[in-house]
Order: sequence, then structure tokens, then C-alpha cells
Amino acid sequence: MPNPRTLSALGATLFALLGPPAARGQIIQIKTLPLAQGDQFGFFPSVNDAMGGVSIAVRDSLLDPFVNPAKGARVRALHLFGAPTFYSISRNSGGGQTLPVGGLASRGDLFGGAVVAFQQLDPSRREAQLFAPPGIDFVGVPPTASFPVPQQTRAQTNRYAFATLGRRVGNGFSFAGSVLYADLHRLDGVDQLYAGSQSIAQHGGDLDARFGVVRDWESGSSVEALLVHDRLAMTHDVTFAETFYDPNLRRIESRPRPERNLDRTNTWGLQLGWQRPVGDSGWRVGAFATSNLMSHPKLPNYQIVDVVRPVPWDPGHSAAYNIGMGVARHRGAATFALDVVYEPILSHTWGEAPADIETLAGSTILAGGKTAESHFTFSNAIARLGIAQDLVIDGVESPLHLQGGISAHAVRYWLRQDDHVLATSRRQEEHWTEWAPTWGASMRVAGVDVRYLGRVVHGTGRPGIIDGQIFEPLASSAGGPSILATPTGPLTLTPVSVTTHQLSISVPLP
Amino acid sequence: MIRQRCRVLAAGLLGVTLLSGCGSTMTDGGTTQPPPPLTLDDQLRAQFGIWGVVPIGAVTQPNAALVELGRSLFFDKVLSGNRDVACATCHSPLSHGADVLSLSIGTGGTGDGAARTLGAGRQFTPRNAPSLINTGLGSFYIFWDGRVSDLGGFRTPAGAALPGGLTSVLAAQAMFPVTNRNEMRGEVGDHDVFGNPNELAPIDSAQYGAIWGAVMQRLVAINGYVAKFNAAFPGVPASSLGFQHAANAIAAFEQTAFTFTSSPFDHYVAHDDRAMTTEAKQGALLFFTKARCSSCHFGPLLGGQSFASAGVPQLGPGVGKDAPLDLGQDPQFQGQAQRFFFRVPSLRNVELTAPYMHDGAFATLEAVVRHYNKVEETLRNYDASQLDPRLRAQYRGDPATIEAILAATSPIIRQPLGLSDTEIHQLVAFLQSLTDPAARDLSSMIPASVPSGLPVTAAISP
Repeated sequence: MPNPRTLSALGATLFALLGPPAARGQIIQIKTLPLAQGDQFGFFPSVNDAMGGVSIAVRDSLLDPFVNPAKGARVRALHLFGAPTFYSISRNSGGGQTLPVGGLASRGDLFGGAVVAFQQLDPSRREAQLFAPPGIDFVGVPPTASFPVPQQTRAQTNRYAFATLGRRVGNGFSFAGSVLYADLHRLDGVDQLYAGSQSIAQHGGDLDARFGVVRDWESGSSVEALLVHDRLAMTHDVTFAETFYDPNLRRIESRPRPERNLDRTNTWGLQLGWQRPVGDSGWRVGAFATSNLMSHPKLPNYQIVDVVRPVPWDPGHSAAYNIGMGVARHRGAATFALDVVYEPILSHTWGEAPADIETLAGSTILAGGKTAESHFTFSNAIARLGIAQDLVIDGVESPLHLQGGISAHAVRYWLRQDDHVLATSRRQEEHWTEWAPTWGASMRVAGVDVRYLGRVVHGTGRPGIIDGQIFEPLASSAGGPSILATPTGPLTLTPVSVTTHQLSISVPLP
Repeated sequence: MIRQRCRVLAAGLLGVTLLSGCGSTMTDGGTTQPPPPLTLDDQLRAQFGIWGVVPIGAVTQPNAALVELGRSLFFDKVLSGNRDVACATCHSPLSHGADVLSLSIGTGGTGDGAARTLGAGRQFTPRNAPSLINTGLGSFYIFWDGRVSDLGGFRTPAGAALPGGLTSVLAAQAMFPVTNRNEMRGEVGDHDVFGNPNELAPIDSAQYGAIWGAVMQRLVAINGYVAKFNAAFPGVPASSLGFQHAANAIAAFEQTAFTFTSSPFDHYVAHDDRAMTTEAKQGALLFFTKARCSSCHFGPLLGGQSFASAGVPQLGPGVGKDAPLDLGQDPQFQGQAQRFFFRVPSLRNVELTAPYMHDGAFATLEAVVRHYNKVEETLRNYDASQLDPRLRAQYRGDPATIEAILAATSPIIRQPLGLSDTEIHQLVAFLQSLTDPAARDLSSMIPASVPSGLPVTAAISP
């Protein structure tokens, strides 16, 4: 068991990029901490997710229209679906459930669809748990606040609405647009990131707009292009238990201290993809390349355990790219698929001086100047591997389709951090790998496609919390929000795992 | 051909993938350098935790009529036996609740501020007039020797004679300057500014009740005060009014008018990292560490809760049987009095309240810091020429006194601190960050007139 206290040197800012397709690479996830995130956004139904999430060389008739709306052109008939999804985080650290329902339809040259989803998320911390607050709050202070604490232990509800509309324009060309809006009142894990806080009320939303073009050939080949714009705007109203000297009572008391943090990130993304069968060998190959340009007008000032006050990171920007290739083979009742993706990312965040600041070297940083800068250079990689096998069962109208797979997300980055006030500079290298075994099965029963997906993510952790004197961890998984943080020391979190179960039901209608 | 290219590309990407992951995990991953030093803010806030520095809450506001009565009393010389000294004479708003003298000049004196002169046959008070700024923030001890205290009950020189109904230790303190001959009451045979006999002076000094009663007789004889007392204490018949009511009003005014808790340091403590300059932060870090200031100046007020012997030069007429020395902490109330121990004052707004120490021996903050840097050397080489010429002869620099002071000096500061000039300037910058800008000009609290009709004057800064 690592010593969770080594996290004490973490000063962090974090931003979250949302959207169910994030794991598909259109919006590239940036993480500088191996922080576990709840599987909050993996609720859209998928044919291939149980195969380690392979997607480059295999088509996914359920998920593809939500990733690139132009792929909705491949839907030729009306079908309705529901996909209740549940995730839980080990060590009794929270979880959530989501019920998306919707349908895709086609009429003439037009196609479209709509989905709504309701989601309930449990808090990441238990009621009895208490973060280690900054040192000041330890002084002669009752360990818990003596004032009412709002909504700390209640589950919160998020709502999602998705709509897409497209048109086939002939010669295999289709184009479509889609909009996903998320009305968010909790992002899993955020309440772990304000050490010393008593409650965090989150509210805000994410708007993900896409425009896609696809050309399909009868041979099974296809090329596609996707333009994505995502705007995340979250507000965190954090209540800290602040100790203060009450001159009327002449003693130390506790009172709420509200603090508002804004989390703003805007992303423009472009992805180009290609896929084709290799003759009639049963092999398919595919490739894609993605570019994301992100601006972070405001990043929250998170405080992780023992970090009294991180450098306030105000704006920043990132440029993230990925290039991937996949192969797949269908042979009889068996399917095999492999994806490999390489992700180089450059990110630059800084703090701005609100007023003129003297430096230790005697110079002055003018208002608006950079007080500290962090330059991240990432070299990430993702590998996904999946297999599937159809089993014919006597007396059953359709075969039982079994799936299994694993994905690995390897993160490696180099950080150069310059503190212009203290005139110091340092470098740091970090790396870790997140593993996600998956499994699943599907079957058509009475004309209804029933699918089960299981996934567990290992390799991430949560900042420890103090429960009595024992550090305990909290939650979660990959494929959700991105994390851009500025570590100031070794990265060590208490390991947790996130387990997801999804049961999707798809009803094709004539 | 395509198949071959795909194989090559796939192999390449797979290789990159494996190299990137490199088998590390979250828990043991990372080729990190040793953690960098904590930032200045981190270090400073950690010290806050150690020394109990927390934000200061708001003071409950007393009713306006009570404050207004207190304001009139504070500036009215009618409280003094000779009608020539008010509370504001030595605690002037123009001098930030103090005067600018090392040792104050009480009744019989003339003039204001640095130009104030002793009356014939009078002497300086034995101690510096402490500033009233933030004295309403719940002090446990009042006066340099702590002879008025509230540790679960008031302890004062009046003992059982202290009337009930006092609302704070500040109010308890306000009972006593009117009883002190040197400060306000006057000597037997004195006449007031109108040439009338001073009726307060003949009363025996031990007869606190009689003195307070006589002062109240003066007040209730003035119509303006009758109205103000009625407004401040509705339902209390005039016959039941005592000087404790006046003291409560004075304390209410002092608390309302002299509380200033919005300095850059206050904002910094309240989580605004940008409120203090880098130099001040470095000074603050020295304050809590190398300079050892926080050993005595701890807590939310940075002092005010304890006594210490700081190796301060002896100056003035002395106190009691030990005169011409001033041994400080009052043995009557502390049981285990220690020689040369004085109350550790709060440092909030200290920039505005020179001169410093219990006898005003140092004129500037830098001089104070340099004293603490080398206590023995500073004490042995104290230059009395820096004092008001009228006080130089009262400097007690004889070897026996010096040795006695050094013997009693707190071990924490007995050895040189080793502060450099840069560090001394950083410490001064920190002390200046304790100033609430609103406390710089307090002239607006001075009333145009007082009910007695006596002239309102306040000591003017030099």
C-alpha cells in the first residue's frame, strides 16, 4: 500500500472535458494525475465496448451515430433503445446510475434521432469522512463544522439531451449534425479535490456540437470527417469550514466560508478517419487522425490533501493530437480487433498577476503578467484488444454473442514548471497506465437485441481522505472527464477500481 | 501492399504504445525529482496553523446611543479632576488611539502631541499610552502590567469595590484612569481650568466608589449628559446610574471606533494570497520562524494574550515601591510575578502606534526589530539621546539595572537572532502589512463639541 501522504505535494488544477465519445478520441482526454474518475459518461449503448472498446477497424451500429452523426446514415430502420448503466467505485466510494432512452430513425434521405438520459450520482465521499484541511483549519478547531452543511451527502441528478439530424446526398455521401447538452450538477470525483471543504455544489453544463461527413462505398470502405466544438462551463460553489477568532466570545469558532471556482474549457476538434475491408480475407483496417485545440479561460483552484494553497491557475491552452490504426478480422463466428493510438499533447497553463507583484529577484511582474507557468509534453498511447464469438444454442432463434477485451491507456508526460515570483524552475516526469478489462454478451430474444457490458478500470486512484486517522481512498475510471493538473511532487494515490455494468435493449422496428 | 503497410504501421504504433506505458502503474510510476520546496504561501500558511493565526470575526455592534454617549465621554475633559484632560488626550484619534510620546503627560499638562508639556510639579506617567486600536477584540489583559484582566471574571485594583454591570474588560479598564492622580484625577489642592477647587482630588485613592460617584455627579449635572444617558440606558433611573454605565459607554465607543481588521494581512489570512507583497510574506515567514516573534506574538491578534520580558531599557519615574524601576507585571494579580514582564501587545496596526515598548524606548519598528535581533547588545548600548530631552535623565542605564533586565530577559531572545539587514527590512514590511488602511486617518471620529462645553482637543501627530 503506498503512502497516500505523498500526495501532499500535489498542487492541482483540473478541468473536465465531457461527452460520451471522449473515449473514442474525438475529444482527447488530458490527464496529469492518475486520478480515478467515475464512469459517468459511458452510458450510450455500444456493440463493441465489451471488446475493449475497439473502434477503428470495426463498425459500431449502436454507438457510431453518436460519435459521428453522419454515420446515422447507416441506420435504415427505426429502432428504439434503452441502456441502463450502473457504475460503482471500490472501497465504498460512490457510484452512479444512468438511464438513457432514445431512438434513431430514417425516412427517405433524412435520418436522425434523439436521446434523453437521466443520471443519478452518489457523492464521492461518505458522510463520516473528512478531508485533511489546510493547516490553518487544524488549530484548536472542532473536526467538523458546527453549521448546517448543504447537499454533501445527497445524490445529484444530471440530465442529458441529444439530437441529431442528417441527410444522404447520394453517391454514398452523408452529412449530419448533432448536439448534446448536459445539465450537470455533479461531476464524479470533483468533491475529492477541495481539501478541507465541507460541501461542493456543482452546477453548469456542457455543450457538444458536431458536424460530420461520411462517404460509404458498397465495398465496405468508408472515409469520414468530423468537426467538434465543445464548451464546458461548470461552477463549483465550495463551502469550507473556516475557523476564526470570535472577539465577542473570545474563542476560536467555526463558520462557513464560501468560495466559487469556475471551470471553463472550450475545444475545437477535427478528426479524419478511414476504414476498408482487405479483399475478402475477412480483415478490415482503419486509421484516424485527430487534432484538438483547447482553450482554458479559467481553471479551478483545486486543493488536494495537505496542499494548503496551490498556485492559482487562471488560463491555459492545449494542443492535443492522436493518430490511430486498427485491424479487425471476421472469420466465421469469431471476430478479432486491435486498435493502437498514439497521442502527443502539449499543454501550457499559467497564473496571471491580478496586480503588480514583486519577485524575489527584485523585478516586478506587472498586472496580467504570468506569475507561474507549467508546460506539459505528453506522449500517451492507447491499445485496445477485443474478441467475440457467436455460440449457437439449440432451440434459440439467434446465437449467443460473447465478447471480451482489454484496453490500456499509457500516460507519460514531462513537466517544466517556472515560478516567476520565486524565480525557481523544475522538471518532472510522470507515467502510469490504466487498464480496463471488458466482457459482454448479446442475444436477440423475441426480436429484441439484449446486450450486457461489463468493464472494470484499474490503475487510477483518488486522493486520500482522513477517516479518523486512517487514510482511505475514493473513487474511479477512465473514459470520462480529462484532468490537467500541476503536480508539485511524486504522484501517489490510493488505488481504486471502477466497475461498470450496462444492459442495453435495442428494438428494431419495421 | 495495403496489408503490408498496415502491418508496418500497426507494429510501429504498438511499439510506441508499449514504450509509453513502460509497465508503470499509478502507485509506483513516475521518475520524479525530490519534491520542490513548498511555496512561500504554503510555508506561511503552515505557520499559521502552528501559531493559531486565524481570521478575526466581526464585533457585535452596540446600540448607537450607547456609542454616542461613549464618544462624548471619551472626548470630554470633564472626566478629569482639573477638567483639563480627556481620554482622547493620551488616546487621540489623530495619533491612532495613542499619543506620540514615549511616556504620557497627564493632568496639568498643556499642549498636544509631541509638543505637550508637563505641568509644574508633575511628572510623566510611568508607561507609554497603549493604542486603543483593536483593544475591543476581546483582550484578556489590559494595561502594560495586566492589572485589569478578565479570565472568567474581572480582576482589578478596585477588588470588591468594582461595581457590577460592566460589560467587558475594556469597560473595566475605563473605570480606572479617572482614579489615577497622575493621569486624570489630579493632586490634592489642584484647581480646575476655571479656577475652581478640584473636588475629586481630595478623595482617598483607595475610595474608588467615592471617586466614581463624584465623577458621576459631575456628569448628571450636565443636561446634555442626562439626555444621552437616558437614550443609552432607557429604563435606568438617574439615581441608579453609576460610573460603570459611563465606562460601558466608553468601551462601546472604543470598540466601535477603534476596531480595524481589514489589513493586507487580514485579507491574506482570509485566503487571498495576493493581498501581501512578497517582501511582507518573507517577513511574515521570518516572524514565525527565525525571528521567533510568534513565540509571544501568537494567535489571531498576534499578541495580547501573555506577558514577556523583552530586555527593554528602563525609562521613566518607575512604579510603586520599586521606583525608579518599573518591574512590570503586577504581582497582586498574577501571583507569580516575574521581574520586567510586561503585557505582550497585539501587533495589529502596530505601524501606526510609535513609539514602541512599554516605555516608548524605541521610536521606529526597525529599531524594535534590531533590538530583538541583538537584545543584549542593544540594551547595553542604548542611546538615550534618541529620547525626548525631558526624558533622557530618566533613563536607567546603570549596570545593575542592565544586568537585572538581562537576567530576566526571555531565553527565547537572549541569544542574537542573526537577522540580516534584508531580513530586518522584510520583517518591517510584514509589520506594515498589519495596517488597516482605514486606521490611518481617524479624525472623523472627533466630535465638534461635548456636553460639558469644554474644548475638544486631541493630540496631533508631529
